[in-house]
Amino acid sequence: MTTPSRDDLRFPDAVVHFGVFFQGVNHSTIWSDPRSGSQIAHSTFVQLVRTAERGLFDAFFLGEGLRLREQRGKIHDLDVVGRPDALTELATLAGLTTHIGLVATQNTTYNDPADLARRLASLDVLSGGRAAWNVVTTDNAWTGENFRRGGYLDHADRYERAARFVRTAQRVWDSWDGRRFTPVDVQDAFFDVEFTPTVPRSPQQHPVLFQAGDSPAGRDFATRTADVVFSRHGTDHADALEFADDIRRRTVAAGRPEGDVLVLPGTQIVVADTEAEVEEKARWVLEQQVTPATALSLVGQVWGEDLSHLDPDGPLPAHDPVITDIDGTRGAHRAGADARVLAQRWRAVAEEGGFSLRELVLHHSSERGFAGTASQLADELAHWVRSGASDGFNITPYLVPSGLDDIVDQLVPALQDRGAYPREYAGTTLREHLGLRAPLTRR
Amino acid sequence: MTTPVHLFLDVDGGGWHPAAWRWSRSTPDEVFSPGRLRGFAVTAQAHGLTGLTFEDSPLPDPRNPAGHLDAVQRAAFLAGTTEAVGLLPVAATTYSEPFHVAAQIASLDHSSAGRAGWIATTSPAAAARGVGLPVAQDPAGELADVVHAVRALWDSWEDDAVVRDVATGRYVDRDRLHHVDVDTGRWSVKGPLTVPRSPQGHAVVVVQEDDLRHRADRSTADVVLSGDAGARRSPGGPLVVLDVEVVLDTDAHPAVDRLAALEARAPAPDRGRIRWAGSGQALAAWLADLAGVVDGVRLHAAVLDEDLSTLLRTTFPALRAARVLQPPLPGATLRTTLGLERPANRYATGPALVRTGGDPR
Ligand SMILES: Cc1cc2nc3c(=O)[nH]c(=O)nc-3n(C[C@H](O)[C@H](O)[C@H](O)COP(=O)(O)O)c2cc1C
Repeated sequence: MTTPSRDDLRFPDAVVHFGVFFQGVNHSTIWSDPRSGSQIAHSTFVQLVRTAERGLFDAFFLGEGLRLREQRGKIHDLDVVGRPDALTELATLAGLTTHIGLVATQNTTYNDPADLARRLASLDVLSGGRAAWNVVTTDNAWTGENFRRGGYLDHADRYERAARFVRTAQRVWDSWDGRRFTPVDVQDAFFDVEFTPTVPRSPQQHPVLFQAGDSPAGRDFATRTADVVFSRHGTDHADALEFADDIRRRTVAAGRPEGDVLVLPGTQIVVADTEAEVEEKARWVLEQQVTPATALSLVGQVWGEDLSHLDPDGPLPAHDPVITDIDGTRGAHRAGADARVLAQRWRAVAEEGGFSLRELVLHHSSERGFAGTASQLADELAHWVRSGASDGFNITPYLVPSGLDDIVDQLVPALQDRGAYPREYAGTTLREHLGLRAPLTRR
Repeated sequence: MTTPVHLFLDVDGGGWHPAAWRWSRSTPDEVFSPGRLRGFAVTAQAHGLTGLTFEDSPLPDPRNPAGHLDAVQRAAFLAGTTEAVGLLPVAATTYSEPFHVAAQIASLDHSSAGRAGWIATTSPAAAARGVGLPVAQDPAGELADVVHAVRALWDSWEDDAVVRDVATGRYVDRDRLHHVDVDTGRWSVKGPLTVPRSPQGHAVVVVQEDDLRHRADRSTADVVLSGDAGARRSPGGPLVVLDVEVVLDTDAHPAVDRLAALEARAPAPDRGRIRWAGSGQALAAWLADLAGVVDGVRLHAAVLDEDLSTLLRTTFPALRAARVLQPPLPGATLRTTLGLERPANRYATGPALVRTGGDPR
């Protein structure tokens, strides 16, 4: 990393915001290590959220997925899987914490606005103004099979429905004037509802809105509607800067002041005491995440067939994939990509690097986040926020429940020494921690 | 040993009487305060109550003109800071997504270490407008179908589905995860649930007697709430809990005067529950007599702020002295406290294979 001069920094006084992203389902949470605790036990969540709050994290963030992933008709069995309902778990955590924000990922395709807005508002009141909603729009008939009304929605319509859904929720949250509720009556292409809300406003008025989605439509939706974008651009600085600039451009185009939408990419952070230890630990993390079985499974997704019989230390399959597109409906990675093109590219990379099948997957998975000593990381993360590449990070711990310990005990103090991290919570609401203005409909 | 009578207390809003809020010491804002909820939980645990119930409705409730919060959220809020009392929220079945309800209640069971109950109720027809669905023709039938689907989803993970088998790289055993394939003709659910099987296997399912169409449906419920003063416990059947609206003597006013004053403000509708007025001691004597006749009683206070203090000063201590309460032990599941079995998993086929590890509970 080159150390930039102060003049390169567009936001020289910016501080790093941290959230913890508990994914619940993934192959990046190491479950094979003896230190790895239960993914569902309440004690796991309590330890994580308390550590995060001790480290003055802005938010504790739960992901959501409404059907277990499958591959070729069989439930995928290699990943950490099984998680609590986000809003229910966060209500419990609200009872055990005092400051940290509580973010629930909730889908706009398989929920009803009257019901979801009420649940979110309830969490917001119970937590004293610490609730947030990460608006996701994943839709497919396959997930819809778990729902009463199927839930199939044309892909092109999902952001339209999401916008109407959020608008309806905002009307629910705005219906309380301090004394009584105004009935909400919505009739549009997606909803025909009429009801009187029952939950009053919290100290932060509305739950904070996060958005996760990367397409141009998703970015426009975020910059018209949300307070925070949760992005995948949390590894490569140039890529992150380009994304954040795009969000700033779109925010202004949406008629909002620049900086009105924060960018918090998801990332992984590996901390160790010396450079040699950093390298060793990062390698260990990677190899635990990409087991031989996982490597075969990931390659199998691209080739569209079961490759578990192959030798992970041998070469990639010599034949072409049996599929053209990677199936987008079963929760596969790289869904929608052209399988043959991807396979060709992978073979070229493997040939050039002399990689075995597993080494190839390790190579592609190695760019997952940051690794360094606390002081290196503090310099680097401070540079990210001060150069405008992001406003902070949503950290996915690679180990639970202890995976935040070294970040809170070592990295946070190093950032504080540089004046790049708060020394106390800015207030009691999530909106205050993030320095957000009033909700969009209440300005 | 005498058969215990399990006590439940409902803590929604200002109390069961629609005029309660006028007498409440709580301002409308305080009715929602997290601190007030915590107070109820501390009280319930200290006095040996078996559970708190959280009534709910998606529509405005005349008893709580200032509104009310989602019941599952309120129950979950108390799960981490209590260790003995059962937590039983209402989650209606008529217009809900069974998948969401199953996930929410299973999560409550995880975070409360097995103290979750679920009061499965029907919704008024007007609730259909809020979710943009047609009015349900047969809400009781819908309820039975939804409970069936939810119970199937709760079984969709066998208890030992998480195997963490380092040798093969498998986190779960896919043979111990099941599609439920429930199809009612009106809707279907595929499964499995996204939440692993919870400590109780199934949360305790509570249904109002009025919501059960005929006797065959009684298997839907672990506990039936009855407003019939002649109700009797039936060995082998679901537990019977009497639903009782109480209005009690206070230092300042006899119960009958309080009730008359409340009724003068806003007459209470008949909710099909027993209504009981009198002194806290007389209530205790009546409840003690019910031990062995029914399995439990759910108390609704006319004005929570006033009647609860009478319950605390007179009724609960008298019941403890008479040894008819059986306070839940810290760490016990609600099923254990109630003497209900942990349901076997409908999909479980046989003894577990040799495992290298498991998800610690
Ligand atoms: C960082 C990130 C995290 C996401 N997390 C979730 C999640 O937890 N649950 C979910 O259903 N979808 C999640 N999504 C998916 C998005 O909601 C969206 O469906 C997907 O990105 C496709 O939309 P797009 O075409 O606008 O990118 C996530 C997306 C991103 C970028």
